[in-house]
Amino acid sequence: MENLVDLFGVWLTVLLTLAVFSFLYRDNPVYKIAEHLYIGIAAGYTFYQAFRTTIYPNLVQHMIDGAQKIQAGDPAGWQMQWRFGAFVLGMLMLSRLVPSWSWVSRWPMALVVGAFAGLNLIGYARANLVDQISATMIPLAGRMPGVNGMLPLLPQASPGDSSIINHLVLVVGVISVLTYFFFSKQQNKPLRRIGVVGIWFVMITFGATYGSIVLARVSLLIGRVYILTDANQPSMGYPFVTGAGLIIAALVIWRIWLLKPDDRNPRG
Amino acid sequence: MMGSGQQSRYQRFLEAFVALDRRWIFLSVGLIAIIFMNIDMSLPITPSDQSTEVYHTIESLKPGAIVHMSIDYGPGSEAELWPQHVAMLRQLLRKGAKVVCSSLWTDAPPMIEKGFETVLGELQKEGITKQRGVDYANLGFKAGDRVAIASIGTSFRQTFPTDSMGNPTSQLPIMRGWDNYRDVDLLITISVGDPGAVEYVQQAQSRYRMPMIAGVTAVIAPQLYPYYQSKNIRGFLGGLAGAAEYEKLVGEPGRATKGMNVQSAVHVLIVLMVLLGNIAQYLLKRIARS
Repeated sequence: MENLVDLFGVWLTVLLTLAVFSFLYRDNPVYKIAEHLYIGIAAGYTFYQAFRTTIYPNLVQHMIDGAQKIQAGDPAGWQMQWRFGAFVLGMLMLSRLVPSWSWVSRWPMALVVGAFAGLNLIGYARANLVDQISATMIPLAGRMPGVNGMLPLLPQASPGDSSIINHLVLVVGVISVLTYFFFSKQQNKPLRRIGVVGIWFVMITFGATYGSIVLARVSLLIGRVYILTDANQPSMGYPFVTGAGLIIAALVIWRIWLLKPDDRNPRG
Repeated sequence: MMGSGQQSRYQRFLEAFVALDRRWIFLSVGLIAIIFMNIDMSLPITPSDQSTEVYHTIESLKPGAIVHMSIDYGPGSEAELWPQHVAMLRQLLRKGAKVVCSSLWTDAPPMIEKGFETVLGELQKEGITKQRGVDYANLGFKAGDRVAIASIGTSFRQTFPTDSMGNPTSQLPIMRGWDNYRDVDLLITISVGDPGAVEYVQQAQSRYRMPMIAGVTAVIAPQLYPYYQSKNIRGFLGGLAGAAEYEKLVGEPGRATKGMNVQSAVHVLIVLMVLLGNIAQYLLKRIARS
C-alpha cells in the first residue's frame, strides 16, 4: 500500500512538473490544470498551517488555559484573556465582506500598518542606517580594532585581509552614488561628473543582481531536472519519459483538434 | 566577394538567427541540463570568504551550544537551499549543538522534518544518535513575518507554545534554561525571500547582536553583502554556488557540486547566445549600411 502511495506521489510530481514546463510552449489547458491545482492546494494548506500553528496555540489554547485558571481561582487567568482583543480585531477584518461595513476593517488594518512601520523603523535604523554608516567609516591606511586588516602590502597583514582597493571602491562608490541621488542642489559640472561615476556603480550592482537572478533560475531548473531524472526508474514505470510522451500527446491533440484556428499563432 | 543570391541567403540566415524563437533556447537549456547532469566531471570550486566564515562559525561552536535555525523556504527552492540546509544541519549535529528549528514560511515545516530525517539517518549510520526534544526540536511555522521575528527574540516559549508535534514547548528538555535571543549562541536562517535573512538582520541580529549566518538563494545574496561587510552576519552561502563551496569546505561533495557543472554549461550557452546575437545584429547593420 505504501509503495502504491509512493508510486502515485512520484507520478503526480513528474506529471505536474512537466505540465508546468508545458507553458514554455504556450499557455495551454494542461498548464492551467496544474496552475489551478497549485493555487487551490496552496490556499488550503496555508490556512491549515496558520490555524494549526498560530491561531489555535497562540489564541484558542491560550484563552482556554486562561479560562481554566480563572475557574481554579487563579487571577493570572484574567491577564491571559487580553488576546480576545486580537480575536475581535481579526473578526473586524472580515467586515470587508459587507461593503456597507467595510470601513470598520480600517481599524485593525491601521494597527497592523502602525505596528509594522514601528518595527521596521527600528530595524532599518539599526541595520540599514547606523550599522552601514559605521561600516563605511574605514581607514584607508593602517589598522583599526574590529575591522579587517587594511593594507595587504604591509608586513603585518594576513592573507585574509581585505585590500586597500576594496576600501577605495567602497568609499568612492558610496560618495559618488550619494552624489548622484543628491537633488537638494543644482548639479554643476564637477558634481555631475561624480554622479556619472555613481551611476556606473549602480549599473554594475544591477548587473551583479541580474547575474544572480539568472544563477537562481538555472538552479531551479537543475532542481526540477534532478527530480525528473531521479524518478525515472524502471520500477516506477519511467514516469519522466512516459509523462513527457503523455503531455506532448495532450498538447498535440489540443493544438490540432481543440484550439481555434485564429489562436494558432506559432509564436504565442 | 559574395554574390547577391549568396548575400541574401546569408542575410536571411542572420535575420532568422536574430529572430530565433525563444523556445529553441529553452529547449537547448533543458537538454544541456539533462546531458551535463549525467556527465561525470569536476570543475574547480574555490570557497569564498563568506562561505568559509559560515564553516568556521559552526566549527567554533561548543557542544551543547543553542542554535536557532529558521528554515524559510519551500520545495520550490529545494535545488538551491536543500544542499545548504542539510550540510549545515549535519555539521551542527556532529558538533553536538542543540538545534531548534522554526519557520516563517508555510511550506517550510515539511522541509524541516525532511532535513532532520535525512541527517539523523546519516548520523545513525556513523553511530551518533540524537533525540527529538533533547538534541533537536521543530517548533513549526509561525505567522506574522517581522512581528513574529520580534516576538521570537523576546520569548521562544510564548511565540511557540507548542512544537510541531503539539508538545508544550516549555516541557521540552532542549528549551530548559533559555528563552530568547540573548541566550542563543548562533542564529541561522536559510531563506528564499521576505521574510528571511534581511528581516532577521533587521529585527533580531541588530537588536540582540548574537552571531548570525545565513544560507540564501542567489537572488537574495547581493542584498546580504552590505550586512556581511558591516559584520551583522558573519558569513553566508549564496545559492547553489554557495552550497557547492560549503560542500567543498566540509569535504563532502554532493548535489550542489554536481549542479555547478550544469550551471557552468548553461552559463556558457547563455553567454554564447548573447555574443552570437550581438554579432548577428552588428553584421545585419553593416549589411544594411552597405
